[in-house]
Amino acid sequence: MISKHKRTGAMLSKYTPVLPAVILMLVFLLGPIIWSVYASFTNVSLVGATAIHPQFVGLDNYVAMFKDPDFFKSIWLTVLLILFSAIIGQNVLGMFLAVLSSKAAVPVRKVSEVIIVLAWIIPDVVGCYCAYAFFAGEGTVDTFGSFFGLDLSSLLYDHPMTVIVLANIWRGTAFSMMIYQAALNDVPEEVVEAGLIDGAKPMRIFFSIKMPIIKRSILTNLMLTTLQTLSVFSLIIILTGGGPGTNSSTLPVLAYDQAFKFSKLGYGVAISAVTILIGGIFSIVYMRMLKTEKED
Amino acid sequence: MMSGLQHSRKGGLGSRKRTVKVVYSIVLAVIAVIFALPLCWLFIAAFNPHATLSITNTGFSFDNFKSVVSWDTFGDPILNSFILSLGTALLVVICSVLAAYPLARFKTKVSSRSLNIILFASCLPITSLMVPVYGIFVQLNIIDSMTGTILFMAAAGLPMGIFMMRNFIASIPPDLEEAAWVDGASRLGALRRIVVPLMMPSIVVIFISEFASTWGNFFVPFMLLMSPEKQPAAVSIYTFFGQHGTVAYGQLAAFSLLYSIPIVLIYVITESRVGNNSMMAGSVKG
Amino acid sequence: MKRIVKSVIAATAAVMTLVPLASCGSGSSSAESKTVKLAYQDSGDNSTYTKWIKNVKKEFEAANKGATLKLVPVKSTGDDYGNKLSLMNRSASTAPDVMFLDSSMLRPYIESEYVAPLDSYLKGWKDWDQYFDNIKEVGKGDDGQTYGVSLGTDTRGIWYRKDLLAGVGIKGDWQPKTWDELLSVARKVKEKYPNVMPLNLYTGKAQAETGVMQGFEMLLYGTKDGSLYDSSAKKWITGSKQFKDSLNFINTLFKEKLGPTAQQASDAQLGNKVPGEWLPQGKLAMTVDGNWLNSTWQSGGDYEWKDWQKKIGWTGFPTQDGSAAMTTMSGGWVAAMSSKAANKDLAFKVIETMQSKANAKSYYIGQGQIAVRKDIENDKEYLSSSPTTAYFTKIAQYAHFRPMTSKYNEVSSLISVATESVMTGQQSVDQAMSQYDTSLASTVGSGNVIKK
Repeated sequence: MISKHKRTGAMLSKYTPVLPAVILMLVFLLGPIIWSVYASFTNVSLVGATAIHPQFVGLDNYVAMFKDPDFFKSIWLTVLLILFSAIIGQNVLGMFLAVLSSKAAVPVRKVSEVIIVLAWIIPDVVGCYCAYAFFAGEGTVDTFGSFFGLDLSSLLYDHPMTVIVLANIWRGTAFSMMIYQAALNDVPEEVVEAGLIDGAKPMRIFFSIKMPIIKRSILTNLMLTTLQTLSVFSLIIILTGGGPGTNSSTLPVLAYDQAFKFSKLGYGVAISAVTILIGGIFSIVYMRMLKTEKED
Repeated sequence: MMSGLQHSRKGGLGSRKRTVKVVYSIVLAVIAVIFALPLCWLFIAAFNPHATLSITNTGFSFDNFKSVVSWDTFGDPILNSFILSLGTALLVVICSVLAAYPLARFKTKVSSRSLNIILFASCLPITSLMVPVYGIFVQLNIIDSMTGTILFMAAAGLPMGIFMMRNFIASIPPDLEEAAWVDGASRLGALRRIVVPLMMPSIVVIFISEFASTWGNFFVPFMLLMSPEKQPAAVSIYTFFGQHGTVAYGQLAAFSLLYSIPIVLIYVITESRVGNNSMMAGSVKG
Repeated sequence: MKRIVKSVIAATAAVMTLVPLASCGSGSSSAESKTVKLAYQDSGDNSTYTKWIKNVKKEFEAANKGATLKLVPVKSTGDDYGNKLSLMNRSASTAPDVMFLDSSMLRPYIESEYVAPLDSYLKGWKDWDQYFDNIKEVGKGDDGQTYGVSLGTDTRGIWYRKDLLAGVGIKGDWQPKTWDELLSVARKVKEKYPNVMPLNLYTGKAQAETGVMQGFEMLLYGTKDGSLYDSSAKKWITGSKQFKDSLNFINTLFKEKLGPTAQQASDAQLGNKVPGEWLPQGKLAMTVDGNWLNSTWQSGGDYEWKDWQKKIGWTGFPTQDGSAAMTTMSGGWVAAMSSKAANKDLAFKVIETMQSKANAKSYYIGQGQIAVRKDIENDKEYLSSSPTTAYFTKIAQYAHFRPMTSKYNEVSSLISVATESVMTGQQSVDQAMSQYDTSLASTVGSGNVIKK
């Protein structure tokens, strides 16, 4: 009895420091999430009769969602964005930049780093408008294009997802670059030198010596950038508004449109629930890979 | 003979290294220029009294800056941005250091599972949570309160903060603290005296990224704050968007430049003090 | 694991008590509250608007000793204002006592019971007789009670480059009689000036409500008996010939390249380009736009243009077959009172103050609005406030209003989908129309549509 008390006591004191964070997240994150899950089974709306007298509708929102072709298109666009912008774009380019900067001349490295980080650190609205002015008709790209006789005035209309992918790479690569710079920096000199003495080519050293050592950083960074990209919202709203049609409406945009524009709050949060699910699936994949790596 | 061979081999490596350096520098510079291009418009438009989206339409004057710098649209909102960003970043750092420590040190199923759950929460689009959050704010009577807004933004930043912080602590050898316990320090004492100083770089990373994201956050303060004198710069930037969808691009760009300076300065200063290389180390090792 | 489940259940229970799905007003403060909160959209650098509101505050506080008018400006553009205002109205403690609503927002607010009927207050207000009857309709709910007092309205017409139209033989006062006449002028412009866009009409999703009201509805309500909604049967109309004809007009415009390209029409910044670049640079001959278009060219406007009066003319938009001299659509904002207002008598005093003859007039002038009161309609100061005021006030007699139902905003989104698929050529007119009919039925309920 006493010993059990003691154990609980020790347990409590061990975990006391966690309390402030847990309370904050319970009240302001978990609470709203639970509300949202509940609301997704009702027809609650922002305005109109069901704003004050919502009814329980069971799975109606989810059924409607799975009947809506726009929903599947939206999942597809979201996965495309994660694949090309987060996984391929930010991570590969970030790694490439980290390698380049480790060997480049110091002044070039310093200036380049500042520029790349600038794109990441400037406030959201500012970054989004820079991207808009860059890709819009009569904007920077269009001007350069007409220099070479190309008509690039309708990029936002013809290739909305490509533009969003590129803009998100521009905004987010700095994060991956810094992570990989740090990780590569941590690779012990001796290991690399041993490889050099064995006569390994630089490419080989990178892929078969350095990469395995920083594999954990890579997987973790993949997960972080995936989750960040999944919630990209203002960039899309400012660049294309989700259009033309629904050609760039990823899940967060679709959820927002339904909840606020069409006032179908219950339906909107049902879409958000699927968004979390997708984030969860990606995360589980990465974590599995982390785990197997640990066992090796 | 021996020494001669060694010499020539070294020389070959040296020139090879130089070529690598030049090639890498050029490629890096080219990418950096591409990254700089979207920022050009900002500078060109800010000084152009008749700015559009174009970079060829040029002009030069300080009119845009003159018209955006006023207490109501600039001074006060920037001050509010500072309060919100500083409060949120500090709170995230403190709470995540406290929470990450036991999570990193006492590896139990509960702690690793709960960590995964809170991490998923970080991918939630905040826009979809706004309605219940507003409801909670009303019930707790903290609508239109800067403190309340800080509490919420900190909660939203915590999953990422705790995750990165835990990884970092896990990469610090426990022997260091154990040595401190022997000296009679309490766990919290050990945390404060041994771990925190070691974690300074990581703390800086989390502080800066939280500060930056709060600095640019429009939606949360817009929804949760009512009084105009409490609105941050991310909201007051909408002064340059007209009633019928017109945008005063010149003023928008000028305001954007001024609004970006503080956050860039903070980054540059801390980067030169701590150096971002070591800052990131460990925070994603897992 | 059990512990986690338990704590989740506990948290759920806590949240459910914290945040009821429906807002149940806990009733704010005392009935004798002497403070009235006024919410309004603060968009852009419209200092005349702010000045006007501050003046209302001053007058109100001077006339009602001890009372305070607390201003709650919502700094935002477009939809954000409505989103925040709806959230504010969900709970009594944050609901403003008086608020400004776009006329299309009023109906949903009435259904949500966010706003209170004003009839008993209007009875005792002598100025109410001055409002035009059709304008009074805008503020009414289905129950026949009045919930909103119109702050002013707007009208729409054709703005054109005089020099370009002169080049195809159009001089002096010009008023196209029919759609065909308008299209033939557009074709002539295209022939004579191949690099000029003849006629801009807002369409598609990117233009949102502008593209519906200022584009499609300008067409539909100019057809004989054309309408979206049968207000006597209280049903939405499907399959009408008028709807099809309107889509056909858009189809012609884009197919013959008489208007913007589909790409240009899909640019959210189109509304900037028309007054900011295309008209001043002579790249566009005609645009269907609101009466406020010239405000951006006045001194101090976003696109100051000294010579605009020399270059630009304005006229009415024709009906399909010339059965009326012209047609136009009207919208505008209303002032409404919260159903949760603690001191409703005092709250209505705020509406009275802001709608005194002098304040109403200065609002019309400052905001480029069209007068909705008999005692100001012919006021000299008002009519001379802008060179276009007299004309756009005169054409208000041809005005149509959007269907006054709470479903309008959702239907409007369906229309923008239809016009978008026609303008991009993704669907034929028939396909777009049958898709509209199907989605309309699912949006408003199949029992609420009527085939015409």
